Amino acid sequence: MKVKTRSIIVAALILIFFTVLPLAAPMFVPQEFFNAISIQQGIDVSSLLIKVAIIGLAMGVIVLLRGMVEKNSQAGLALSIINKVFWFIIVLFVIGMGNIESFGLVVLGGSSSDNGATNIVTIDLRLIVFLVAIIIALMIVQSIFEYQESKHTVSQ
Amino acid sequence: MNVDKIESTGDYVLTLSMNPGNNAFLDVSLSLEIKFLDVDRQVVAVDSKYVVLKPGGNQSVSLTLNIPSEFVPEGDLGKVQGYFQMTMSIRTLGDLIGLTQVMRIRSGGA
Repeated sequence: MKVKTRSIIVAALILIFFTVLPLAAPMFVPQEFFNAISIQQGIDVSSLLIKVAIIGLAMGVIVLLRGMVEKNSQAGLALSIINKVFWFIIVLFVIGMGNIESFGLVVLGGSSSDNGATNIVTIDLRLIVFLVAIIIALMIVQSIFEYQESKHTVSQ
Repeated sequence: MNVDKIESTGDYVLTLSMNPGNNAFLDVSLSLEIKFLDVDRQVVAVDSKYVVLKPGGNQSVSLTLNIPSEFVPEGDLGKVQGYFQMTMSIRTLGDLIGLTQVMRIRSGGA
């Protein structure tokens, strides 16, 4: 099975920047920095970096697989749909500041156990997520139509 | 923020005044709430306001808390035990997107 050279290069770059670097980052940054962000912003940086690494790995695999299959094949269509869904997950990840499951309702901050001080910021961007979901759904429909059109053209 | 004492009852009146503006192109709704909570985090006093800020406009907002004298040991506001909580909610685009911040600090006397 032939893999396009361009796909291999892109997948390698994605793996370096989104998987290797996030996993290696804790070795070069003091732990106190991560602890400070975790306490002040309520963001678990270690967990965030692992999520970025997983997303990078999945993205690299998708790019490689897309380089293996014909664009107008059933596998090509399936990968195209998976790719779009995956981009939706990335949007959720970015808007949710690492919390995919929040679906655009981001909660930052927390309470200090020392003096009971609390600072919680809730950012409601669910409308943006909803609009992105509609766009992704339309793009998937477009991919299906393009696939059907290409099949129709080949059969003629 | 102003703090006044009602001499007849010993209660304290805490007044928070602000004049928020809206420099954007869309209406912004602003919801403000201040609370005084006792050490068990039960609400002692609360006040809230909701205003809609038109583009380019501003509006004065004033919130008042009445802290009963029994929560002010020896009449000294510095010895009050409890929490002061402020909730600020800003929403725009027909209230479809927004930001809410809850800040709670413990009083110095606790």
